[in-house]
Amino acid sequence: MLEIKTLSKSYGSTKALDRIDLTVGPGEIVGLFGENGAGKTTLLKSILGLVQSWGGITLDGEPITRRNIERFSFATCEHSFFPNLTAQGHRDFYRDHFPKWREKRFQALMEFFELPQRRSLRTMSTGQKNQFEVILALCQGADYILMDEPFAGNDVFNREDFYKVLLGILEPNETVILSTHLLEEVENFVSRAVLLRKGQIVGDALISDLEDRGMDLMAYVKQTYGYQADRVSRALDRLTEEEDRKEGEP
Amino acid sequence: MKKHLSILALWVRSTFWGAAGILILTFAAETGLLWRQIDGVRAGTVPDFPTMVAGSQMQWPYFAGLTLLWAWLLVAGCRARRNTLGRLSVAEEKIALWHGACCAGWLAVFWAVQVGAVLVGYRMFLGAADPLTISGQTLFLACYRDDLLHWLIPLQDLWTAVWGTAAVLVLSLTTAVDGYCWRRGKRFSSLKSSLPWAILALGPVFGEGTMPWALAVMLVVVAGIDINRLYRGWKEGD
Repeated sequence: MLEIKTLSKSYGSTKALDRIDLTVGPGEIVGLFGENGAGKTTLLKSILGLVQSWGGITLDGEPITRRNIERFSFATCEHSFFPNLTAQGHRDFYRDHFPKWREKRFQALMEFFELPQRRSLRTMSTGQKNQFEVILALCQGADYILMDEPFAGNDVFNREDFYKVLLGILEPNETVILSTHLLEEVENFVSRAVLLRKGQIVGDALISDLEDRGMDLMAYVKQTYGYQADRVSRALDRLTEEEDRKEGEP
Repeated sequence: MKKHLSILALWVRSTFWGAAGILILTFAAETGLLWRQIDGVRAGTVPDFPTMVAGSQMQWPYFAGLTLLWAWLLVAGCRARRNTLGRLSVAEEKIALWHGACCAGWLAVFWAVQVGAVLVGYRMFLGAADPLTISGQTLFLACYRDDLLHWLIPLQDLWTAVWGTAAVLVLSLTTAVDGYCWRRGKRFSSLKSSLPWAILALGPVFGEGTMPWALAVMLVVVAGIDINRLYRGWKEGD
């Protein structure tokens, strides 16, 4: 169980995270949503200790240190692979550092996405790099797989393939926390939605509960953020009126 | 230990092709410049090996090669992904030390390449020089007389050897710590390695006289700051 208690982080005077409380249990697939700057990336990096934050983060009651950090993996649009290394080089490196490395899964995914084993990552396309990034995260053998916009730059078919593959290969004890803007695409993939705004959690709901309420994820997000559907048309009307008035003036 | 060796291997793999390319180019440029002096040796206008080395201007490829190698090793350290290195069971500070070991290794190879170029040049000189002007001690004496050669092969001069080794080790350490700082977002801390680089790169170009005690003190200060930074980071990590 991953428990986050009153987690805060500031960049200068800007509060990136403001007393976040969140608990994620084994096997959950959590979608982390929010506009740019809401604190999604900072939250994920704080869990991993890649940014210094204040508050409590524990995994099964233990603080996250070098002793249990291998239980987390991370796929990010900033990438975590080494550009000069080949896929095989990465496999060797990960095998040395992560004892639960999933070799079978790695080979299967490399084959499925037709990624070259002996080419350095530097020479691959953005889509291939993203695919490899996610493959590494899935094969590390982690209990908690954190993903931060992992498909930025991939085409829609590619992303859909990945969601299907993910649902197919994840084991019941594997937990995914996926930060993304692609609400509609992940609606059928995530089991829970956590909404962040200005560093605070403003919504947390199970997708099954939303379905019981006859609500889809997009509607829930719009409702939580107080999205005004007529905002654009009102602004356009005002703009047109002003222009008409100016034209009417002598 | 396997994890540590794996990190060292990662650094070597990350730097291999760029560093190897720089070393080959440096060697080719230096031996090429030495080769251009051969006509002078045959004609007798270049009387001895130190004159041949000085006339070749081989200090400039040395300077360029060391600068490129330093920049390449620094960039490799800065570009390494903290998203992975920060999630390993090995402390980031130890990872930085392995980067330093890799840098020291490459600098040692760079030194070996310089010595190799000089020996190749010496073979050329022996082949072209008047046999009456050379003896078994020609290279030995040249390494005493010539600043650049004395830097490369400091025969019976313990202090130059110690200084050179210390400067290489400090350059390795500062390059590694600069990469470590950069990876942690401290971009402005990542310039310290330019000081030992300047000492190592400019020393042979302008001669031994450019290495006063002030530079020695600076070396000690830079090394002290870096060791302190690594130690503090390590303690914080625990």
